[in-house]
Amino acid sequence: MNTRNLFSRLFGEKALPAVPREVYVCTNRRDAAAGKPSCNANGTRELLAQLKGKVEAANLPMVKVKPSGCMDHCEHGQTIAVYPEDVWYGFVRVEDLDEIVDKHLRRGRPVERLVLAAECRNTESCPHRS
Amino acid sequence: MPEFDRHIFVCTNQREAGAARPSCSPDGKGKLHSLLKDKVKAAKLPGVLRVNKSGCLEQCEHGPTIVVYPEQVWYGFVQPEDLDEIVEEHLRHGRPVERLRLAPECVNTESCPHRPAEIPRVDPPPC
Repeated sequence: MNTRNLFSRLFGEKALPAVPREVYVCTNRRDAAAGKPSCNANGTRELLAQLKGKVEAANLPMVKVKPSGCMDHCEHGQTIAVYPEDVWYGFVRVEDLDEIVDKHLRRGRPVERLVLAAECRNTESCPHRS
Repeated sequence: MPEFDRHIFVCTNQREAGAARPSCSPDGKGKLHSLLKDKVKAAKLPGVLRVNKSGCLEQCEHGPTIVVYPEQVWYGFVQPEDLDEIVEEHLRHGRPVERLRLAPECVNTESCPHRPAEIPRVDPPPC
């Protein structure tokens, strides 16, 4: 059982507990000619920098934002993974970050509209894969 | 189980020579990452594992650093010769390698005794 299932069984509709969290923002950049898209196509790592700034401004010392290499969700970029609860977000835009910080990282309620569907997570059947 | 059963991040951050904090991958080759990736593949472990590169995990004084999720186990000062033990003991048998674990007071805290008193706020350059 992965942690996401464990957390949902333990907490159901309740808020997730305030535990030390690491939030990984994919900063992978490929060549323009690559066959796959990149989470950080223009190389500015803006999503990472913005999220770091917002977490700091929100005064959430238990939350650490980290840059990651390719997390193998290129079709769902920009991708963010939150551990230990194993919640994955896809197609994240800068304008989504306030909601992630306030709802999920502060109040323990993942932003469902951005959570990657189970059938998209590392499966061949993901409709976004070409 | 399509999702990652284990997601392992290996810091591959490279700083310029002479930087205030050390680098997990001073030569920029990320050798520890590629070695661990090869070893995990060769071990044919059950489940879906991903050995991921990460940027700076902010554990620079403990590098090279590796973190394993979902159990959120942090390893520090990891050398290539430690990887077999991590693969066999932790990733195969579920027993974290205690001798390599970072103390809780060292992970993501200001109070870590290995940290310099002043850490310059310089973000790594865009990649």
